[in-house]
Amino acid sequence: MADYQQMWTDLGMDLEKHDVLCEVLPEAFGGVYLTQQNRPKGMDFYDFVVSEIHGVRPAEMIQHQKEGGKVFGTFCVYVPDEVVFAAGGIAAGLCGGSQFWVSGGEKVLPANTCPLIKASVGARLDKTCPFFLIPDMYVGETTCDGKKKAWEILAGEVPFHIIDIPQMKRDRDIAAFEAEIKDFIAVVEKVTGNKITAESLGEAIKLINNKRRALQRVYNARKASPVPISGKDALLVTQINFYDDPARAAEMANNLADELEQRINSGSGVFPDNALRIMISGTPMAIPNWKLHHIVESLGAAVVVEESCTGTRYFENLVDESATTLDGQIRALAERYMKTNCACFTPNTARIDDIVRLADEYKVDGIIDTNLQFCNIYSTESYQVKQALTERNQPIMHIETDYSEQDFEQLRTRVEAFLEMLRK
Amino acid sequence: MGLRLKKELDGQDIKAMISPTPRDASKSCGISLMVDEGDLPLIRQIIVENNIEIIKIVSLARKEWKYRST
Repeated sequence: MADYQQMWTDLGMDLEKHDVLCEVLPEAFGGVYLTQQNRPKGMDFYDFVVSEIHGVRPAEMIQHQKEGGKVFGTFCVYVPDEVVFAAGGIAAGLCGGSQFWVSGGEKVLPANTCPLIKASVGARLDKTCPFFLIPDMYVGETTCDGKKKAWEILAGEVPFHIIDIPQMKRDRDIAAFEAEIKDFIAVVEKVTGNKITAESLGEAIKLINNKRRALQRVYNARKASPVPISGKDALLVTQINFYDDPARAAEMANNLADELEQRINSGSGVFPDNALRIMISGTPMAIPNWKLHHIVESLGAAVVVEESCTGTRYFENLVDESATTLDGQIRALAERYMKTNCACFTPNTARIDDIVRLADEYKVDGIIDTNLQFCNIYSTESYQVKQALTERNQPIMHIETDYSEQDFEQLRTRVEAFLEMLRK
Repeated sequence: MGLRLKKELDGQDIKAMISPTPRDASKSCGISLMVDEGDLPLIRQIIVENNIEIIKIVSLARKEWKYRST
């Protein structure tokens, strides 16, 4: 175990406050993860990353900076990481998933802001997370009003670039996003001092695609019955992929997928054959938000797929690797990213198509459509999702929740009733 | 070092779980391995034989985990 105290001091962290988080993490992780049986050995790497969550990867990022590299903090799956890596930078997902940071965000944000935004702002302002203190630049986007206004606050702290995400998916919107990527390239080149070429962008596209392919393998294994990995473990893999080195992330996910495929061949799983199979759709679950998965799985049902930004939306579509010019690659990036179906778009019927398709592919018994509290767009879209799935006789329930423990028992009762209904 | 020890223990079929260090064991924020007390003599031997650096071994009562958010 390395000693990270000096690194945290140098970052200007509030060590006393941070220590409170260090105290809680073992309990939280133990209660959710170490209670599981027959976990794949491939999860050791991810357990290690959690056990040194504010040490091991931040140390690598700081070393990168000492060698002249730059680090970009991001908050959304619409930010093309390929651009950052093509310029020799590191992109790291920063979304906050801990209740610990929420109160820090509430000091400057309205209470009726979603917990992800409050936690992200709180983590920076309270100086209790190294990931929020390391980046040379934050990259925001316009996927919701809460984030747009939060960026204005965070821009007082860190150099900030905002990518304007279109709200519709017409040809001219894809062209507009293409222009946004070109602007982003210019910004990243300026910050890093490195020119992005067709060669470097081509390599970065392959790098990130390989990570996506590896995650696709892990998820494909979850289609099997009995399911060879718990939903909690799969969620942790995706969460860590947001900030890990992409080549290592692909290697670790591929190692895990090898093991899961062996488990499938030998009929070995972590839930019985007849366990209920649940899809969770909706808003992202940033690390360490494991609440809903824990509720479902501690009630004996398996979460087999997440239709969310910390699930299939993160890796489902690949960027076309055949383009050889920068213009062609930028077009390919725009086309790939605009295939992602977020509730910030209107209309967003393709997301409902995704849920229907995934329910079939993963043979789910029921769907829990969920959104973080005060996420207006996903909350509103849940009406359309419910209508479409009910028409198809697909059982669905909707849950709105936050990161706190306050509604834990209430949610457990609701989920238990839903599972009971599915069993009949 | 924690991962190295875990690998050695796996190789000898000794059960160990990687965990953030429980506060009862140390006021740190890093990796620890949770093992059964009965396996400790063998684990100590593996640590010495493989020249693995550890900070300390702490005995903790087995506990019932309960959910809590971070």
